[in-house]
Amino acid sequence: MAEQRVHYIHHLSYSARERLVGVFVLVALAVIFGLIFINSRTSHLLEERITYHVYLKNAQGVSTESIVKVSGIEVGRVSSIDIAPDNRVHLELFVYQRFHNLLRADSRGSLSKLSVLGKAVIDISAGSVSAPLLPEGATLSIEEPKSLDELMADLAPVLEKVRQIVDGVATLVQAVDPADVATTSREMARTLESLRLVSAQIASGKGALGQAVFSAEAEHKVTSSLSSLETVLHKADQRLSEMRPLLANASAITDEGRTTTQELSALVVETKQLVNQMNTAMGTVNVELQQMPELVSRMKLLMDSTDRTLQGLQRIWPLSAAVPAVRDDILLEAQPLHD
Amino acid sequence: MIKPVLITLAAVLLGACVSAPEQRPAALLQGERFLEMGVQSFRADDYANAATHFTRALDHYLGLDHQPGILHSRINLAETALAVGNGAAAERHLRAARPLAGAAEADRLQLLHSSVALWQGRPDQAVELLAPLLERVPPGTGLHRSALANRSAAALARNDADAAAWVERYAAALHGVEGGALVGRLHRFRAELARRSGDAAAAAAALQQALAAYKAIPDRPGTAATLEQWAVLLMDGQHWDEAEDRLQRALHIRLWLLARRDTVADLRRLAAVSEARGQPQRAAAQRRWAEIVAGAGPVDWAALQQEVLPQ
Repeated sequence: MAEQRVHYIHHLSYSARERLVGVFVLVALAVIFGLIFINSRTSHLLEERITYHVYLKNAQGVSTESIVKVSGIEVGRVSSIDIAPDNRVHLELFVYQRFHNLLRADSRGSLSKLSVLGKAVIDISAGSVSAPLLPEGATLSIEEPKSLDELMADLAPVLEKVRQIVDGVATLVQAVDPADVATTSREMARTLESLRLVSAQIASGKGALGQAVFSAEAEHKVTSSLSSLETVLHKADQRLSEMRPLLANASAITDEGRTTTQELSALVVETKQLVNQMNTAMGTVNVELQQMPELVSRMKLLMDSTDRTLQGLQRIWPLSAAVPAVRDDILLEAQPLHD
Repeated sequence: MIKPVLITLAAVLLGACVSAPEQRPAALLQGERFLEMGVQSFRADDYANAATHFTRALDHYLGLDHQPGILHSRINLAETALAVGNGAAAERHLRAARPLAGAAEADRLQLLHSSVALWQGRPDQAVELLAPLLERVPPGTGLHRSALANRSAAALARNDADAAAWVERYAAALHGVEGGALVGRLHRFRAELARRSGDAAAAAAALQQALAAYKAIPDRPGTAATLEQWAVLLMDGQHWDEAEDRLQRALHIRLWLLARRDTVADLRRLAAVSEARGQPQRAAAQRRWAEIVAGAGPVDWAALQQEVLPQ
């Protein structure tokens, strides 16, 4: 009778078997991490690339990690950034060979609006099929978005004009002497008081109207009132003469204000466009937010799964030796009353 | 070409290490997870979280009509309620658990009933419950040791002549047990016997050992009970300053546990100490707070702490 051969695993101690399983797990983990590393770093390693050049006045938000897209598809990346002899920013970017057909002579590029926020994407429009292919090393024309500084620079003249208007109004207010105004007011008050006395005497019924009017006292009072009124009118005329240049200046200021208002309306239109763009962006974010509950549920499932995986790993050598085992009892130990 | 080979190799390697998957339904595992988290919180002296986890487990099992799960949840909730000095809640859970218990759990429930009876100041009833339990339960188990501890406590509460004998029987049952709450309880029994025999020094030494045993775990209710026992010993000797210190330390723990009955007892003892030290206003404030806590209404614990305990 032939001797039955026993598998070597049965000759190993429990500890040795545990170590063997541990080695298997560690090797598997190393392979997985290696694959992930290789995949992320070399997924396009063997692809052929075509290089293009771009010149920009402002490369805000652009880095060597910036993505190049054609019609929304990622087709390449920015490979280097340097300064051209004419002090513009020179970008060298590459596009994978398989997307070369998309780039034609009529392709136009643009820097994404988000570049002012620090994450630029170079978006190139797919050229028409009838146009010739864009040759390697060609220069792409890129439409640059306005930077924050430029937007602020556009606003600066408007603000300057507003400041001038405010200055003009301040000058106008300063030209009027409060003391003169007070004097004029007092004299007018006196005149009005005299007029009130005259009308009171006429209305008093002391005699006929002719008697009141032709009496010497009344005549004197009327003469005095007229004299005061003449003085007041003279002074008022004088003040108006002094104010004429100021009023002419105010007219010029008003004209400037009108021009400014016209520019402001253009700015308002631009602002409206910006708000519309922001609304669109918020709409996109809103859609993302609506997906949050599902995302949270999936995360919970993932966390549960990870938890189970980690608990399983902790039971395998060498982790089992390093991590103290948690006693997963479901019933508390019996204990006496403290008091 | 190399990638598919590597992926296959990794899959084979991982496949070799895969153990048998869990066969039980996910709903049962979820309930067990709540219980496990509760037990871990209880062991970490986090009774509030333990109660939360056990309550969730109970709800979960009630939703499944899973009788063993409901029973385990109620036993754990009763233990947690006793740990924070809420005997009424413990009794409620035990009443609900009784119809579900099989032979194995009946002894455990009987032990818990004896604890509730002691908590309610009915040592005679505790003795009745413990007598058959001590005959039935095999020695050397945690249940037997705990039953002996409760029997010793009942004997001391009744001033039985054989109280010392019960304590020694309990000590014998702990032979070979190093440290822990059961050892702490033994030191406290010995301290009480020494106090009753008038040996204050021996009592203080035993309490010091009990405190060390509880703090090593740490065990909050045990620590607080030891400090309170020590305060009583010091009050007997009219060492008011030291007694106040022990009571204040115990009160800090009772407030942390939100144990109302023990808080009331500490406040009344503090009031007695204040009066003995000639501080009637302070004693009045402590008594006032004791009445508030003893009532069923809400308590402003922060205000109590600020007024009664030194900051």
